[in-house]
Amino acid sequence: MEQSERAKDVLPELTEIQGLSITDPLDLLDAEERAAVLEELDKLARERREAEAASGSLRLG
Amino acid sequence: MDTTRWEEPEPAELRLLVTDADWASLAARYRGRNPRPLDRCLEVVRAGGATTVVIETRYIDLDYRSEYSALYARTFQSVPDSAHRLHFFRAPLTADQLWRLPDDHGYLGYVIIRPSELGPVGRTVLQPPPGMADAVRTQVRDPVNFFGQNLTVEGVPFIQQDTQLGRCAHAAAWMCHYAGHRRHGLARRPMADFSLFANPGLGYGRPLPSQGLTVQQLLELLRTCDLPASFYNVRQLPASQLVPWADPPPQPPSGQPDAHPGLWDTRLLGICCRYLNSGLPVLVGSGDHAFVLCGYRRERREGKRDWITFIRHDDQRGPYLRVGNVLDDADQDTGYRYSPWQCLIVPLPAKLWLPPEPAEFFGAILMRGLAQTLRGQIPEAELLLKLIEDGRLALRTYALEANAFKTGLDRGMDEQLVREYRLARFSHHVWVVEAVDRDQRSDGLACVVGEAIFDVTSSENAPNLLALHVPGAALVHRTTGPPRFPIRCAPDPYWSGGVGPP
Repeated sequence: MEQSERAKDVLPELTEIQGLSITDPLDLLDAEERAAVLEELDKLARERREAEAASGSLRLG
Repeated sequence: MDTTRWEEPEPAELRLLVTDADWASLAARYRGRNPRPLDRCLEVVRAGGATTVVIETRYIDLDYRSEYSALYARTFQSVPDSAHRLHFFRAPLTADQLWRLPDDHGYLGYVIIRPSELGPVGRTVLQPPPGMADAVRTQVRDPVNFFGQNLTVEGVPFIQQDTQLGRCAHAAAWMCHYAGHRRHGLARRPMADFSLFANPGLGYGRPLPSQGLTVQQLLELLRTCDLPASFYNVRQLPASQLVPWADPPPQPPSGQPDAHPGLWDTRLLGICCRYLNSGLPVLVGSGDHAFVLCGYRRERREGKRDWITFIRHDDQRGPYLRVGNVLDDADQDTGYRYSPWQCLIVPLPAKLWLPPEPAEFFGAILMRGLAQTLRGQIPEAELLLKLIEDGRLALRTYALEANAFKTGLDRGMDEQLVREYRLARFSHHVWVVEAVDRDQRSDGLACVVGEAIFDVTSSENAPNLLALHVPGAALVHRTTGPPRFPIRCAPDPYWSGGVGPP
């Protein structure tokens, strides 16, 4: 209780928007969009690893 | 270069730089086999209004001393063990002012000269030339003690290779590291370390005289110097369509499917800008040569997307040189043609783990998602969707320390949001993905309408969102419990927090 009183002093209470609560940013996307985004993130990571693995023997000098 | 009586006059020589002959005489005094780097340094300070040079004739320079110990002390030929340091001032000084400079001395920076004609320009930090200052983005504050007086210069560190111990790759790595030393507090590494600590097992041939560094050597060297680097192979840039509403990925010219991507792949521009927006230099491998990008300028083109011209430090040509066309890279003064860019190496603070591309992609998707979610209840959020629909939404991505982000929030941002951001718990560094109104940006107005902020220590497969803001509302992550939402705020645009103009 004491802790929540202190928190109130620092951060103002927010007025909720009816029917709208967000616990996870991915809640902002529908199921299909969420799957596509996660797949794209995996693809980006994979492409980056492949490019790094091919850094090879280029010499700069 | 004549090195007899190298350490005279004691303690210094003062020269006024008034006529062309004065400048030519200074250039001739230190002329090297390749005079371009020094000539360019002199051009830069001359453009900055230098009228005086003070030459410290026995300067014990950490970088040159390291090279002396590793190379020159071992040669048959005698080489002086001290360097000269040239200080440039706008004010015309007299000899009796050197121990107590006037307030309006107009210090422009310094050039250290090695007593070697094969690579005379040692550690150098000069103010960018006028007209280029706003485009230079990786400058650092470098303190200088001048005969007992504390001076400061803000500029991008430069050094020329000595051609035996170090080559262009060593010089480029040193330039990035010295900037990291000043910007991020990395332990100072003298120039010779970049040769002595290169792993010979990852390269070819003999380490001395050096023939350069392989990319693997360079990456390993930067890792051991506390700047682990990101690597981009220009032939394998991320093929993903980063943001659904962005222009489609560029394609090779018609009929030339095998054309080198360094000649047509404009994604290079965005990759470099994300780091330069963060004040981080980008090392470019072009053919067998390496140089460092230290800034860029956005140039408007009638009826076309803006173009980006870069600023580079090339150890063989000098500091602050304009790169007019990345895809057809030629030195503007001499016409020298660079090979197509092959790779980008970006030395990074050790804990900046999340790459910018997934942050930008995810940030864009989440900003659009939040605006779509809110549009019914908070009409201002519609602005972001309208910008997307009209092709006016650009993204500007940069990393910085969270404390610097919080300190720099007084840039027209709504006070409620400033309060929330300043009181929020953020990782030490953050990636910020700004939503930018292209038209406002073109008009030189405040142009940021929202942002997504990410924890740089999170995974590229699941970037950890710290805050998300669209016109009218924001949410801020909490370490305990659900995010703070909805934080209502005014929809007015504000200025960008990245380095330099957006």
